[in-house]
Amino acid sequence: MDNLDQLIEQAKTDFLGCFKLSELDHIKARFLGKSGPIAEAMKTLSLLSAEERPKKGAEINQIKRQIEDLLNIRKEEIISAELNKRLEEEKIDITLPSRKFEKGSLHPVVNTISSISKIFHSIGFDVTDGPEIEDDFHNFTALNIPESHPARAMHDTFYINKNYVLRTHTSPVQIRYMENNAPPIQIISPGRVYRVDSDATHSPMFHQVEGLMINKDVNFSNLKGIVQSFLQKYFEDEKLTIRFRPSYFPFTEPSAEIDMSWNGGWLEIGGCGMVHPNVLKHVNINPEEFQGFAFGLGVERLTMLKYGIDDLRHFFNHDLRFLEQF
Amino acid sequence: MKVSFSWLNNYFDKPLNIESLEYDLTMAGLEVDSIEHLGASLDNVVVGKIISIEKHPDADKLNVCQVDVGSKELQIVCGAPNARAGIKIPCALIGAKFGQFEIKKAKLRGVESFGMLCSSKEIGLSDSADGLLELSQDLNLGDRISDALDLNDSVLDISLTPNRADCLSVQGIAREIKSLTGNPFHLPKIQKIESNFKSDQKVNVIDSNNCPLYCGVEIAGLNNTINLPKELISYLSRSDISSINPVVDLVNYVMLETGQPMHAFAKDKLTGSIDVRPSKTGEKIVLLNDQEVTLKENDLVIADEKNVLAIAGVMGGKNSSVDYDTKNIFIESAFFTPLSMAGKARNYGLNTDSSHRFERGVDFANSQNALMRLINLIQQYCGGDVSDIQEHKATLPQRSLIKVRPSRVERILGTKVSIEQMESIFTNLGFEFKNSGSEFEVYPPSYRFDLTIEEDLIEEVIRIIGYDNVEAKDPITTLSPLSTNFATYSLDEVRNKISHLGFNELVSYSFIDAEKERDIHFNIDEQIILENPIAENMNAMRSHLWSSHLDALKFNINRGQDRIKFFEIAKSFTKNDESFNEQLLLSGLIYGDSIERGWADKRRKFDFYDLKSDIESIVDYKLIFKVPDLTTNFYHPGQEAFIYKDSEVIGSLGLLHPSIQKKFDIDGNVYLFELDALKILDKKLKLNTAKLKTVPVKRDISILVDQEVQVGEIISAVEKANISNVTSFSLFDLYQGDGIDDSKKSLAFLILIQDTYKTLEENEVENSVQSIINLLKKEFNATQR
Repeated sequence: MDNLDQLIEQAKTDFLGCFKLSELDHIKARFLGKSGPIAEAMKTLSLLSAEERPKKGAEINQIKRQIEDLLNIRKEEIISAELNKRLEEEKIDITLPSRKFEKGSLHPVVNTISSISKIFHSIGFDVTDGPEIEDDFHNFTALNIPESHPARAMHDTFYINKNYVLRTHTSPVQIRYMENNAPPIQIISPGRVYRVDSDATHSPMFHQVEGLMINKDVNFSNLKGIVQSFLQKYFEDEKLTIRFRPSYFPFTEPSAEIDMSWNGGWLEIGGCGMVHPNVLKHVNINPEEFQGFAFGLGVERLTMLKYGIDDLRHFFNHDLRFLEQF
Repeated sequence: MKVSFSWLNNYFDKPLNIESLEYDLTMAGLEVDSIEHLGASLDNVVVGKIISIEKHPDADKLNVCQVDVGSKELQIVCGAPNARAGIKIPCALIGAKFGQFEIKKAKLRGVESFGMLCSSKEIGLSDSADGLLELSQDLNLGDRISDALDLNDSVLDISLTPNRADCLSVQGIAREIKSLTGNPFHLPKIQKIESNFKSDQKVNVIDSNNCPLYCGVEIAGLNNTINLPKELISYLSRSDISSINPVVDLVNYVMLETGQPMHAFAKDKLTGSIDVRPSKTGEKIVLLNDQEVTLKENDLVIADEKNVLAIAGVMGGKNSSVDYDTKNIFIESAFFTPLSMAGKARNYGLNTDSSHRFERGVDFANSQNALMRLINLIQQYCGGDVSDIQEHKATLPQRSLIKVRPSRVERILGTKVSIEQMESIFTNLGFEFKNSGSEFEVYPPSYRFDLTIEEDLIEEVIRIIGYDNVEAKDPITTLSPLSTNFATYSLDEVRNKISHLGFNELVSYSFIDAEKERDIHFNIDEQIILENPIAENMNAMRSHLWSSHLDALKFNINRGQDRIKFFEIAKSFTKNDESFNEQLLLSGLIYGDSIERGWADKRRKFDFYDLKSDIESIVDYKLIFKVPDLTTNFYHPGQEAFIYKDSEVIGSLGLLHPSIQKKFDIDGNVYLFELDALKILDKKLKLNTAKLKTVPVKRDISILVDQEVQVGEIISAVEKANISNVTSFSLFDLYQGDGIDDSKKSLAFLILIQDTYKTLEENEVENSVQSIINLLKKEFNATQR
């Protein structure tokens, strides 16, 4: 029996001297294997008397269990030590900069068009489009600007030839839409427009949003309502107010300039008015039955105010240092 | 139009208030752009006289002046070349301010100076000056310069819309102020003309359609060397009209006063009768501004028997012009119709005060009055005998009656306006009208060219009531949902997708340098050239967005950017015979390093496959890339592809051709792409549930094929063969080099094999793989490795 007692001590020492799971299995075999001391001791049982056999058997089993327990404890210890070691080894400097995936950016002017479209879409205005190379009829004549009209000269028009121009405003879309759609009409049309004009505050290409609403009783008050509500939503300022100033556009009557309250003063933001009866007649809408309003807003101006951009030229300069900020 | 405030004020008994005037005019549609207060900064500037002058002891160009400013004598150091004893000059005292600059006691090279002697520039009378402003000896020493020179005035700059020609005069603006405020005004009294003789000047109005009214008068024996009152000249200068000589100044003065442009000819320089007629091709005239003009055909001119005397309503000619020596004149006061004047001055590169007014409409009912007013003034200042006034009158425009329904007024405005209110507005505006209860009948005055229909008068009504008094009310309408297309992406969604791939959005001009574009594109016939470009390098509409983007690329490379991804969604423009095509393109480029410089990954340059992957990521459906049958000449011939959706070409991508890269002076490879923006919006909506039921079996195969074989061909051949249970066939390795024949390349593919309903048996899997191998052997002469 002394031998077996020593066995436990021996196992203890051996297990503690082991630091790897794979080695632990070898050591385990040395004690608990088929030809190990426990198995050998079991074999000797048959030599004992029937009385002694169960007692001795129980003793051996108990020693076996003790060794197994020691083994399991050591196993846990090694697993946990290995895990700790691994965790320690795998520690990184989380303050190192990330693998930067550079995201791109969206142009602020196009973003503004997108916001404007969303706001008007939310109240049932469709978004439409028209050609940028426009014929004389749609850009001028149908908008009540006949050949001899002084307003033609004021438009600083780019000409392709005698009959075609780069559209000077988005208003021809009104005509194109009304040619193909009967009232009630409620649309906006954002896009590029062109004027022969270039300085710090004018670009030969810029963007407008045209709005048009035609129905039986759409009136001047409604025009003021829609424009004011739109600007309040766009600038997220329910206190924002607008003021109309009498103005002149051949295709609207009455006509108004739109001023918006800004930093304690007024800022011109666009033009508008009730669609001129001659314009409605050009597209076969009876002005006695239907009436409505049209407005045009300067997209660059709205964008500059929203993002705090001080110079129009930034928009078309292509400077990544500017573009990346949006 | 610029106008002197004090001139305007003279018309009213009750003085005007400039601040409220600015507001009233602006809110009535006569936008006051600016108000310039002339004498505002001249508080401490007075009339002085140089009593004596000595050279500065230590400075050649400076003088030391003793200056009498009335109450005292001051020593002032001055460098002006015309400084001399005896002249009167404006003298700025200590404390005077010119903008930020304040006059202080100073020492100039050791000599004390107690003020500054001024030029016309410093007191705001001119933009430049090269010496002291020498004042009249009549002025009193010590008087404030703004009083002495009558600078206590303000200039209103009113920006008039083209419909308000009636306000292109002091009287017109006064009339408007009266309508707005009720403040009554007085016109200058016109004295009856005493004719002393009968004019022998014959006038033939040949084109009376375009000139339905022509009045003329002769004045003989006048003196054109007198001095007009200072005030009158300063009114002209405040409207930006320079003083020429008394007669011309008075013509301009009456034009500003009444809005009627007139012209004075030197009578003795005329030959025979005057014709008002259309011009003939090739006729020439030297204008008053010394410009020689060859006339176009059929422009209305004033001509005598030898020469063209004037382009009617635009400008007179040099050879019949009035000068200081002129004694006898013939004055014209006419009405040239707006239609005949439209664009006429501009055709000759001119824009005159006269043409501007005639083009927009002059009050023909006042032409005679204006002429009489001018005669009065000329006689008053220059003397002379006046002939009878001749008048040639044809059919003048009629102001037709306009009906205004109060019900319509309310329907258009959305605001109720009472009958009484309308009556008072029409009365204030000087309209003749009748009110039948349900309807007004209004006759607009001759000067209101802009009033022709009911809506014009509705605008007048609300203009006078005030646009501010219109309530803002949201419209009431029927609700019905807008149609939405769920099967397509919006352009905004596409923009978001592509920007998430690292692309920066550009907005670039649609214009391009025609020559540059010709250098890089192939189809010159399609190019659209502008007739009047804003700059030579912006003279065509772009047929692709590339050259704008290459310019943008160059711009940013020059600013140190070494990793660039751009995109833009914009139209391209091409021409087909006489029709124009616009196509919305999504176009862009990638350039430089594939990733930011960092510690984690090795850097490499962008290549073709980076861009190909970006393009595949923004489109929902499968794209096919094919080598174009003919090279584009824009891309590198070995690195270009047309992009197909089914059998339709929807775009292209490739490496910029090295020779174009050189032209744009760009270092390094640029990969560009172009897609038809409206063809990439299809969205996958149907879910493939079959895929979800079983687990696919994976098999690798490795083959050798000839170098020239295109991998895309192999993949599409396998896909097309539709081999049973094969759900995916993809390349995972490509090898050329050691261990392989130079003419060959080694390809390794991953095959996914899957049945929709059951787990496949080994022999079924094997069959599928074998079918693929057989196909590759047969079609591509492949050998298995």
